[in-house]
Parts: sequence; structure tokens; C-alpha cells
Amino acid sequence: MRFQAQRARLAEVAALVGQAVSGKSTKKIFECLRIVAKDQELEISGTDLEVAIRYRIQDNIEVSEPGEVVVPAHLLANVLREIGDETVTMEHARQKLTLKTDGGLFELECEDPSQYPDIPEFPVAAALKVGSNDVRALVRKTVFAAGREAARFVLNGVRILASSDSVRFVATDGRRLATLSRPAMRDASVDGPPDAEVTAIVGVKGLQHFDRVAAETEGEMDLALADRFVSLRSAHAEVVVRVMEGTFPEVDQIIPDQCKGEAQIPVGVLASRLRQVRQFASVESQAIVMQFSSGELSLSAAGGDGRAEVRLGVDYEGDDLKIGFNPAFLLDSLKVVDSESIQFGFNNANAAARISDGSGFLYVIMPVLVD
Amino acid sequence: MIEKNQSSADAPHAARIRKLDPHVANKIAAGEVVERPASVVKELVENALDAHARRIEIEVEEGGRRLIRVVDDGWGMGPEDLALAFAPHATSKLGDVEDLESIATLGFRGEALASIGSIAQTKITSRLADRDAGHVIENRGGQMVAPRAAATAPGTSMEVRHLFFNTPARAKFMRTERTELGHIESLVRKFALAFPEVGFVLSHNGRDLLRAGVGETRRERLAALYGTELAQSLVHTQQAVDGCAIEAYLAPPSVTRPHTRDMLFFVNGRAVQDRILHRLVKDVYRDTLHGGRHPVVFLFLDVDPARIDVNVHPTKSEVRWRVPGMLHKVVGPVLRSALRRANFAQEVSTEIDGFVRGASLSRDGVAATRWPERPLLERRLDGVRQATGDFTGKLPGNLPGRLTAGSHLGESDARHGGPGGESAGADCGGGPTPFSVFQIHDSYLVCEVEDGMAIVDQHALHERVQYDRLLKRLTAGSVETQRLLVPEQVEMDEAAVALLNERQALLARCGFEASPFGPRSVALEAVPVVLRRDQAAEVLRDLVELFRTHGAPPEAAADATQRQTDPSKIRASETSAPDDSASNDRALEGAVLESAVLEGAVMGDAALGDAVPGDDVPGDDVPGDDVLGDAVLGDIGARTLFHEVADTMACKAAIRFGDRISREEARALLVESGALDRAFVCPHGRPTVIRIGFAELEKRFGRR
Repeated sequence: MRFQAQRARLAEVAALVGQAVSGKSTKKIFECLRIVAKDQELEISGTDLEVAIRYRIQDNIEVSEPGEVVVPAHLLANVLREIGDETVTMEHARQKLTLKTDGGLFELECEDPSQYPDIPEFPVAAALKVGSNDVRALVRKTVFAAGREAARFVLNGVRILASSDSVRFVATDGRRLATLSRPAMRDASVDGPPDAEVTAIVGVKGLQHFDRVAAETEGEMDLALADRFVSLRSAHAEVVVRVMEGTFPEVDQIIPDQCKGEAQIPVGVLASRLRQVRQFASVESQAIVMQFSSGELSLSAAGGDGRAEVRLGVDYEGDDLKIGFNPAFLLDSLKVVDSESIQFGFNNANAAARISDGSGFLYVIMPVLVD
Repeated sequence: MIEKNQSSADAPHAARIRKLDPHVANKIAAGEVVERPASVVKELVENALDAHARRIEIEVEEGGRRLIRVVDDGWGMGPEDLALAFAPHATSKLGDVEDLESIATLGFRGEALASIGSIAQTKITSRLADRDAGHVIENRGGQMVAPRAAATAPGTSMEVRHLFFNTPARAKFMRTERTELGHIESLVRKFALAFPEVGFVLSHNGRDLLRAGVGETRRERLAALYGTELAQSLVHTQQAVDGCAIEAYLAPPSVTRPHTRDMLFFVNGRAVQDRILHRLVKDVYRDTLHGGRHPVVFLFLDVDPARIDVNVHPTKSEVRWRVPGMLHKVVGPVLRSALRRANFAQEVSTEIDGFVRGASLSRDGVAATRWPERPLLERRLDGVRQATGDFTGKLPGNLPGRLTAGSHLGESDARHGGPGGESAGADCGGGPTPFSVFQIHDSYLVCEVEDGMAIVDQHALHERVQYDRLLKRLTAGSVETQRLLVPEQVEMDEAAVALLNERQALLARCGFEASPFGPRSVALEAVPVVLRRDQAAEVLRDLVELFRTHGAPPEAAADATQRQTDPSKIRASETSAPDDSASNDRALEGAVLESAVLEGAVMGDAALGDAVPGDDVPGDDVPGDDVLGDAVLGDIGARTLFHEVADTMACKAAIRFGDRISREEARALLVESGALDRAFVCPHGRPTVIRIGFAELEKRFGRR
């Protein structure tokens, strides 16, 4: 194998792919990425068996001898970052990958390419078209609510539901739930049953890679839910995430469809007041108490260090209600809403409350019981 | 007993009831008073102390079987006193019955010398301080030899040879020389502690075992008996509350013993075995000790003699409290606050003050313990306050990224944060505090402190923080509860499901809501805010076990005291029996209430007849969780449950050994713990912090 490529792009791709590769593994080959050179195209891929990333480089490539090589990911990325040349030449011979620059020569020990894990091809038949901005929003507005160490392992993941015209992400750690829906379009060129809803649960790490790839993509992307993998593809890159097995809670049963009280609350003011009061949520009591009364919301917290109460004007008419929340859970949701105000719906101090921002984002939060 | 049987066998036709020959009576009494050589030493030393001796020498041979000699420099006795010394119930210390109400001397029953004289060969040599010559009197197993003049120093010398020579039955029960000597030594130690101003020498077969000088302070005496290191680590407290003078020396929780021999209680100068005090002290140390270990405590109480009865047992090793609840109310708080004031952060040091290195190195042998007046981290914070200058309130609340809950740890951590996830530090908007802290191996925190460095066991310290939080919540009301969106199914056996269902109120107090979900599982609907979700099920199962163990303390106590309580109280206790599920919702509240009621009943002293403890063998554990103790110590039973619940949950709620935490979180943990009592030790008694001072560092690096 032998090729010449633009160093900057190669370095960038090696670093991106390297993020999917585990930093330390019991087997050396799992710390490696794979480079395949074929007719004027380089394919660079890496995986930690949960997430795989594949990039294609077609511009400014000169392949003089096709072939395949598996090299340590982080070493390659670091070398490419440090050398300042415009272009590099790479050559694979006798278990070594040689990088030639203007005045330098680097030799990297290689692993056996036949031992490298297979990365599934993109399942074109199952693909939906989704805007890259929508992909980013889906990830950003749900992932934060996923569990970190939930007893039910699937809660550490995000559930994706895809129908012929929409994609929905749902994440919950059992105490709060975030969900967002975005339009999608079936690829007209693909045959198949039109309206079947498919669903899959994937880990948070894979979705962070979705976000990265979407960030450097303009326009539409392909999203496909296959049996064991969910794939996201742009013109140059592809992320494949292994699906988690298990049963995710039935979301629609969790989200309260009726709310006795609804308040319109300005986001910025609520967030800043929450942060003020939160300082007093203490060792003994971590909850912040929200007290709704006509036209007003009071936030209070008390502990050994003192107490705080702040008020803000809100659009609310109804019975007075006192309800406690973990302030971190509230703030988490306020960070991701894009609108000026949220709709805050609730039933009683023991039942789930609902936050929505009018853009398809819905957040459900369970209260902390207050005396 | 043998003698008595023989007498009746010899005279079958004579009157059945006869007055015992005084010799026989004395021998029988001797069985009560003189159980073993240590009992002789006890009587003789008490006599010496009652004679205001300044110096007492005890000489023992062959574990006391061959010889016990106690020489004092006290008042001494004249020939007239000597002649009466061996007469039963002859005493210089008690005039009439009224005097019994206010006994201020150690001996008073007047039976000791008579008893000893009847079972050994005894010689008393004594000289009054203002006479030129002394006298000697001998008693050879009851045969008196008349007093005669003898040359001797002022004071009294009592010599007891061949103990039990004429009571072979008793002699058979003598243990090995070593065991008997152990009893004697432990006894003399207690005397020496009770009377630091008196000099003591104990020698065995000519070799000194113990030597304590005249006119020492209590701490000096402790050092002489237990080694300088232990003595210096003891926290001292002295207070007079409610007519009771309390003086205590408390060892840090890192110093523990597998036995209770070093938990010594003195009441009016008399070493006593007292189960109430024993349990009280264990309760004071409860959440700072490893399971099964015992603290080192020296407690000296002086109370109005009228408030206690020491005439319970011939050896006077017990007292009966007129108002047992007094100990709990008066002594408990004094000890607790003394422990709380002290800071026991372990300090690594190669220096051991003074020259006594041996005797009592702390358990792990490395740590010399100091006690600055204020906790280390708190002092550290002064530096922080000065350095930043802009803190207005109490510090912890203003710090960024403080650990507000185990459940927040991961969630606010940047490494987990997805797109849009920010660290909690950024939330609060504060700047970093200016003391360095690093996490090493995801397990320990190394931080800079005022006078050197400290190494913190992150799990242990956080466990302590969580424990204190939880306990406070449990005691004050209930643990903060987060309701779950999706109930979690937890499988357990049928009995456990039933038990949880019965104890809903208690469960809610612990922060859980769970309802039966089929015969063998419960649906968990709410969990304590502090718990990470993956641990909720495990903690719930642990709680079931705790509820099982603590199932029926109030009922047990009530049953045993039913004889003494009136019927209404019995009914009250029955309503909280386990088969009555309705009232069991209130089981815990019931327990507290019940104990309070019983406390009143028992203080009326009706149950005390059953409460004579067993043998006073030193080192034997005081009888355990008996009915009397439970009732008298009031709410300790209910508190035990809370402690254990807090313990169970704190361990789970704490960051683990191996969890990576951000620097802000580490700082917050240190700051928060600085504000807590007892942060130097985790709830199981392991240290949380080890300090290495500049002096030690400089020494190790050869800078001085």
C-alpha cells in the first residue's frame, strides 16, 4: 500500500476516528484504526466495538498502490498533528507503516488487518433523511437526561423511534425524561413498507459521535435503524452504533397528558433565580420548593447555612401549589430549550410535572417530596 | 456449705436449726467476700486507702496464693484496734444505719478482715503515727494470737499467707498463677487510677509490675499505667452537671480494643462494673468504631452518695442508681460534646513524645494522634476565607461544584456531559478556591493544608458526610425522597414483601416508597435523593434485613416488664405487636414512646431485682442487650435503627473508591466535611484523613 495525501485533513480525520477507539485495551488491535486505500479514495475507520466511525477522503489523494493497514490510532493522530508538512506519503511494507515528510521518516508498527473487527456497511434500505441541525438538536436535547448508572441498563441509553415522517429521541434516568421529535423523510428511491415505526436503544457515547459528525455536515444526513445497529451517514463520514438490548419504558404512559395547572415562565429569569436559590439547598435538603400562586412563582430553599426565597412573575392562574424539585434537574432542561419561555404543567406535589418549549421538546420531571 | 452439711450429719437428733459457730459463719462469709486472691488485695488496699495512706506497696507471691502483703503509710492502728480487727462486723467506718445513706469510705461492711482471717494465715503489723512502737496480731485460720509489740514503720502492714489453706474446695477453684495475677494487676490499676495522688507499687515474686509515684495528676497516672502515647491522645473533659461531677478521658476512635478492659468507670472513687454506663459509652462511640471493637474510656463520676447504693454486692463492684435515667441525660451529652470538640485526624509522625514507646501504640502502630483545638479542615478554611476575602456567608454554601448529592456526582461531571452538558462548577459561577487538591488513582485526595499536607480517603470521607446528613434527616423527620417516573421492580421473598408493607411509615422515613407488586416483588416508586439509582434496590433489601433485626425491641422490653407495669401499659405494648399491621405503621414512633414509658416504670426500681450482673471478672463483657438496659437507656433502641439505616445508605450513597471526581467536587467535599463533627473518621471507625506536617516532611527530606 502506498499513497500521498494532504496532511491537515488526514490529521483531522485520524483524530476524529481515534475518538471512537479505546485508549487502553487488553488487545493492542483495539487501540488501532484501519486505513484502506483504493482507487483515489482513503477509508479510515475505528471502533471500540460499541461505536464505529468511518471516514472517506477523496480530495487530494493519490493512491499509487492499493492496500490496507492497521496502526495505533493515537500515535498516528499525534504524529500527523505534530508534523507541519503540506502533504505526507505513507507506505506499508513488512508490518510497518512508513510516513515520509520533507525531512522526516516515521515508522509505525502495524497489526494484522484480518484481525480487525468488521464494521457493518450502511443499511441503505432502512434510511431516513434527517437534517443535520435536527440531528444535533435531537442529541443535545435528550442525552443529558439519560441515566449514568441506572439499575435498568437500558436507561443509560437513548431510545430512537423512527417513522416514515419523523424521528424521536427519548432519554430518561427514571427521575426525569427528555424527548424531542423532528421531521424526517423516507428516501423516495428506496422501496419498503411505508409506515412501519422502528425503534432502537443506543448508548450515549455513540450519540455524541452523531453530534460531532452532524456538526461538520450541512444539509441532510441519512439515518438508518437496522436490527443490531443504528447508523448515521453524511457525505464523508459514517457513525455506526451498536443497539442496546432491553425494554425501554413506555414513554407515552409516563408523560402526563393532562395538567391541572399550567404556567408560562420566562426561561432566563427562572434559570438565574434557580441558581441563586440553589446555593441554599443544603446538606440536609437538596430540594428547591416551587410555590405557584396567581401571577407569581416563588422559589425557596433552606438548610443549615440559611434560607433563600425569590419571586418571579409568571403567567399563571389557578390554585396555589407547592412542589419540590432537584434544582439540577430543572436547570438541565433550561439549558437546552431555545425558546424565551417554557410551559410548566403540573398536577400535584407527588406527580410528574411537564416542561415544554413549543418546539417539540418535552421534559418530564418527578418531584422531590417536601414537607 | 461443706461445713454446714457435715455439722448436720454429725448430729442427726439434735435440734435442726442451730446458730452457726462464728468460725463457720466467717468461712461462709469469706466465700462471698474472698473469691480469689484479688479479693484479698482489694479489701486490704481499700483499708489502706481508708486510712489515708500516701503510698501503698503490694507484694504478691505465686499469684497471691502464697503471699499477699500490703504495706501502707496510713494512720495505723493501736493495740486496741488490732485486737478487734478480726472480729466480724467490726468497722471503724460506720456508726449507725443512717451512715449507710452516705458512705464515703471504700470499706464499711466490717466483714472483710474476719473473713480473710478465717481462711488464711494473717498477720497485721501496725503502728500509729504518733507512737514509737507498733504491734502485731496474727490469725491462723481463725486461731488468734494475742497482740504483741513489734518494731515497725508508721502505718500498717497486712500479710496474708497460704490463702484457702483450710478451705480445699475453694482452693481448687483457683486458676493459674498467671490468671490470678492478672486479676490482681487489673485491680491495682483501677485503684491507681482512682487515686492518682497515692503512690502504688505492685510486685510479683520480687519483680515490679507496676509503679506509680506519689502525688501524680490523673493524666500522669494514665501515662504511668498505659503509656505516654495513649495518655496524650486522650481527650479530657470535666464538668459538674446536676450535682454530678464528671471527669472523663476519652481515646480517639482510632484507638480501640477487642475487649472492654480499658473501659473503666469509677463512681465516687470506686471502680464499678455498670451496664448502664457501658452501654452509654458504646452509644457515644457508636458510629465511629469498627464492629466488635471497644473504645478506651476512663470515666470518673462523683455523685452525692445518697443518690447511689453501693451496698448491692459484697465486693461493691456495682452501684445501684436511684435515678438511672440521670446517667443518660447528664453524662451522655458531656461525653458526646467532648468527642465532638476533638479532632482526631491522624498525623503521620515518627516522633513519639516522651520516652515510653511500648505499652500502648495505637492499633495500627503508626499513628500518633494529636488534637488541635479546632478541626483541621476548619482551620484550613480560615486561610481560604482570608485568601479570597469575598466570602460573605458561611463558606460551604458559596463554593462552586459542591457535592450536593451522590446522584449529582456523575450527572454534573463534564466527562459524562453530552453536548450541552456543563459542569456544576460552571453553574455556580464561582472561582476556584485557593488550596490545592489532587485526586490520585481515582481513590485518594491529596491536599494542601495549613501546616503541611493531608491525604484523604475519598470514599471514607464522603461516607462520613453522607452519614451525618442522613442521620440528621432521619432523626429530624425523613430522608429526602425523589419520586421515580418509572417504578422499578425489586424482587424479594414473600416475608420481606409483607414486612415492607407493614412498615410503610418507617420506609417512608428512610426515603423509600414501595408497594407490593405480586407476592415476591415490590414496585419501588420513590427513592432517597442521595442514592444513585442503581443502588436503590440493594439498599431496600438491606433495609428489610435491618427491619427484621430491629423487629420488636419495644415488645420485648414490654413483655419482660409486664409484671411491674400497670395493665394500660401492657395494652399499649400489645398494640404494637408485629401481627397488628395497622398499628405497625407507627411501629417506630411507638418504639420511642414505649421506651420512654418503660423508663418511668423501671426507674420506680421494680425491675431492678432481676438486674444483678454476674461475675465481676475483669475483662468480661458486661451482659449485653438486656431488658433493663433497653428501657433505661430510653430511645437508644430506636436510635440504633436510625444509625444503622444511615450507615447502610451512606456507604452506598458515597462516591466510591475508584470514582474519578472533578477537582471542584474534591474541594467541595473537603470544605463540606470540614464543617462536620467527627469528619476524621468514617462511620465504621476507619480514619478518613491522614496528615503529614511540615516537620515530618522536613525531617524525611533531611532538611533538618
